Amino acid sequence: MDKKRVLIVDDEKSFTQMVKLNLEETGKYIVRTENEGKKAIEAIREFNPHIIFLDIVMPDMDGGEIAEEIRANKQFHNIPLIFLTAIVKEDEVVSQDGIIGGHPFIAKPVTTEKLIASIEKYT
Amino acid sequence: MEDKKINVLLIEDERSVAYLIEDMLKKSEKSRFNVKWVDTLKKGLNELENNKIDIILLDLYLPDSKGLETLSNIREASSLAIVVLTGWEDTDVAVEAVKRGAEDYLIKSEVNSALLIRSLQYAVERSHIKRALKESCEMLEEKVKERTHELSESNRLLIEQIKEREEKERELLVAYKRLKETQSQLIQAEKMQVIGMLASGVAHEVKNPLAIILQGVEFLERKIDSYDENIRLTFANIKEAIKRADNIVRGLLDFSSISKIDVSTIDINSLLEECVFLLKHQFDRRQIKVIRDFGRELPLVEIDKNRIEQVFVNIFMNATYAMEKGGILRIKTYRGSNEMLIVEVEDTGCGIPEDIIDKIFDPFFTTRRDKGGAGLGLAIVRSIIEMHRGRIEIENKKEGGVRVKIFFRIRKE
Repeated sequence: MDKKRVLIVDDEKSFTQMVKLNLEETGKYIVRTENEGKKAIEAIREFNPHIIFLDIVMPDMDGGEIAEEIRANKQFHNIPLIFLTAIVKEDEVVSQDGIIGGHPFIAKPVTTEKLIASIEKYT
Repeated sequence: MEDKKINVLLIEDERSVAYLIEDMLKKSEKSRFNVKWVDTLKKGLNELENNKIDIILLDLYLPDSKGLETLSNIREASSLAIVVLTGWEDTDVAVEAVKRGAEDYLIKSEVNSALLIRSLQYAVERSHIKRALKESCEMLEEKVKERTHELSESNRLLIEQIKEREEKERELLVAYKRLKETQSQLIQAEKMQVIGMLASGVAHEVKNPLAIILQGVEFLERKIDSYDENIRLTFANIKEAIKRADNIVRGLLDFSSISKIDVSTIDINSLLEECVFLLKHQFDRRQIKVIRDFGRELPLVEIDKNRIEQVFVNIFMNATYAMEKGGILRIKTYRGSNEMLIVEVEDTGCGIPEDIIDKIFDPFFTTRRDKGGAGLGLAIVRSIIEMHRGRIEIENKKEGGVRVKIFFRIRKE
């Protein structure tokens, strides 16, 4: 069985490193990490991921903007996208795993178990 | 006085006595006396009314009046000096007359010119002195009255001023209290604002490192010998700490986000029933018996169902923490005065130590820090209730345990 390609875009380099380690440990996933928002689209083109984890708050480019671009792109718009966020805004606190702009989101800190569950659920 | 004539009114029914007296007086030195003689009381009174008289020479026994009554009849009409004429046999009456205000008495059979004149002159003098005395006495009384009046007036003013001052003091006290309340509300509001501003920043800055730590621990956990008891314990502790820190941030976000409520019309009893159901497991595990004392046909309230559910669950959970060894949770609902609906929650637990009861609503105050408490539960509860323009009161019951009262505004028809 082919390994699933997982793209993680998050400006926290240590976080992406650790997630990559943990997911690849399972032997089921290949993980590519990007720490700059503006590189996300390029990475999607090159890597063709099965699923994208996208941080919302990044210094150079907002996760929301990237999501808009992905949605607008006919080539990518079917790739499942999950927001990762350390900020839970007012309207989003009711459930910790709600939906933002039509996409599910996961609140940080997150367990590997939960990441895997999300990958399996949406791919 | 020397030159002035003394007008004498002689009231005497015996003509001979009258003549004698008139004679004595007319013969007196320089004839200082004018005498007017009448023979009845009635005529005498008439004279007193119409002519200027200085002194009355009065026989007590007249055809139309007898004894002391004669004196009192004259006194009623006039305050002039009276010298009583009397016979031997009536001296007792005469003495009594003097006691009652006559100036002197003369015994008819013993009277002579010198005695008569002296008696009359003295009587007039005494009468003048008396009158002067009376006048000055009256003046004095008047003055005393005036002063008393002034005093009582100033006393009244003083009392009024005291009253006014007391009123002012009361007003001041009320104003002071209100100021204090406003101040604490302001502090509270400011705290909330700061917390709100800090919350999302803190969340970002704390949750990201926590995410890294959690991922790192998970990695290490798999790589390191998990048969070593101490290593397992260490990992468990680290993960527990991450969870705790995360809870605090989550609470903070929750707390700072209570800026709007989404109201609908709710039956409070049903909502309480739902909350009890939610926590049924908790109650059963701690052997807590729930008693419902729900009011019938209570008016509906307009509340944010989710938020108020959060309030009740928080209050119930606090009660269960206080009743580790079981107890009774009594939930009562009733209609209070002032269009308020009241929910009362009582437990039979350990109560709240008096030294911390003032702090229980403060953000970040907790007695359960070691168990992961962030100290935001009741702060959030109060904020939610205040958003509903309601009120919450928490007190220790005399018989032990805690009573929580939540006041909701009743929906206006």
